[in-house]
Amino acid sequence: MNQFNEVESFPYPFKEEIYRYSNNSILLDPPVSIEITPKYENEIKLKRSLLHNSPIHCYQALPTSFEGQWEIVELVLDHLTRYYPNYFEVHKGQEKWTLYNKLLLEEEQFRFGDRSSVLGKPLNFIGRHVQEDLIYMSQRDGDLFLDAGHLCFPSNWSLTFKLGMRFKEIHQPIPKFSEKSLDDRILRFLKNIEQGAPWTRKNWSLMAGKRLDTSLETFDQWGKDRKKVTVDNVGEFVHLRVEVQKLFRLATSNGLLFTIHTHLLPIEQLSLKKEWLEQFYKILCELPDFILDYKGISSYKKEVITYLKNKLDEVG
Amino acid sequence: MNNLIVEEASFIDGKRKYLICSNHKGRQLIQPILEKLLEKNYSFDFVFIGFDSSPEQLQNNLKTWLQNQKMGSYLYLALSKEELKNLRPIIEDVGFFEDEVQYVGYGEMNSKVFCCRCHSLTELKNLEIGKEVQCQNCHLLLSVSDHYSVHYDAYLGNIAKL
Repeated sequence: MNQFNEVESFPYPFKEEIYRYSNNSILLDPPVSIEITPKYENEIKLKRSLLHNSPIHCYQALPTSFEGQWEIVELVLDHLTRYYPNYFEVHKGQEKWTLYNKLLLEEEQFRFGDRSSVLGKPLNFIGRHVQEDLIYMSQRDGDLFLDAGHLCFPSNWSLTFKLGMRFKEIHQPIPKFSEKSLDDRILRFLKNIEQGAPWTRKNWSLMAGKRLDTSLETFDQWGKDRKKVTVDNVGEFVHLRVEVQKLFRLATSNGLLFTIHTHLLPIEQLSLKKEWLEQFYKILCELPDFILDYKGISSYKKEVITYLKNKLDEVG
Repeated sequence: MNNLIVEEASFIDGKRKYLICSNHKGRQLIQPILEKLLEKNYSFDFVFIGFDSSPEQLQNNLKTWLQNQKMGSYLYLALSKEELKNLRPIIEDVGFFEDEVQYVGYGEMNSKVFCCRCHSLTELKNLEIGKEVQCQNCHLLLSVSDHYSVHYDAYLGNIAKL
């Protein structure tokens, strides 16, 4: 994929020149949970290596989540075969199902819904074939709970720690998230998502370095890169990190599938589009300290702003 | 749990009925509330926990008492912080929401800190948000955050120094 295409296909997240936390979800059209990009093979390779080397960081599940996990397997398989028929095929036999991944030339047999099949980890089984991270939220007692997750590319959070948390507990570290009852409104919105009408939103941050696997567990390794940012290296070293998140209601368990597809774009490539350059410069200049701190940008904000200003001066 | 416990009770006006449960030491903490209720001539039940109550008896008696209460009651519990921590699941089971209970506590409470790197739990007394503590397993210096997990009954410890 050439540079131009990478910029054009990047899910640029901003619409306004001021950014604040909000429920920026829109209806997902087409209603597909998975996107296969030209980075598929590299990202799947990275995912599998993380699953092998740090399995506890990447997969967690409460015993009550198995029904929901299998429902997610079925939904994702259905989308893979329907939207990417050249890449994926599923044969559903009486005893066993077979998944053919033609991109990786792999064939996997499993017993659908069987607790002992796929090592008892349905989300990992299907997650190993898609670039998205997959989270299962169960809905009960008027709340949503993080009951299972396949998470290889977290943006500085720990799946293990958040396991079993309610919606508001999960988001407790976000500053001012409960202001004007934003947390209540988003929870109400999520609880009312209907089957067959999925939603999508984009979330963003900046990151120093080019790393998809920024788990909280490894923060001591990648967090140091924030100190290495200079005006000279911003362009290639700092990346706009965007998560395309999707939400699907699951019919049987009544839970939610929450998918996260993470994209990185170096700031120098973002600067190739003048409208993005201008808008992002304004957003960053205006961004309040509490958001900068939470997103971990504060220590190198000045360097990024100087770089963007220089670029703006260049293009006039 | 720490974030729910207060050391000084505050009076919440306008409830249908007030339920108060304390032991000898907790009685001092709840005294201003009792005076307020008497002054306003509000309806309340008071349950005193004697020295001879075992933790199991306390839990069972409290459960029975609360199960027989009507909707709209407001509960004050004035006990040691450790007792409050152990009673919280029962209070929630019976059906009292967070905004219908005031946990008024004295003494120390053991808290746990979850290591963000190795996931071990390190116990400490008198939890302070922002305090630095060393993980007992991987020895990483952690800064205690206010992010709490009911599942682990622990606060998240973030890397204190990069």
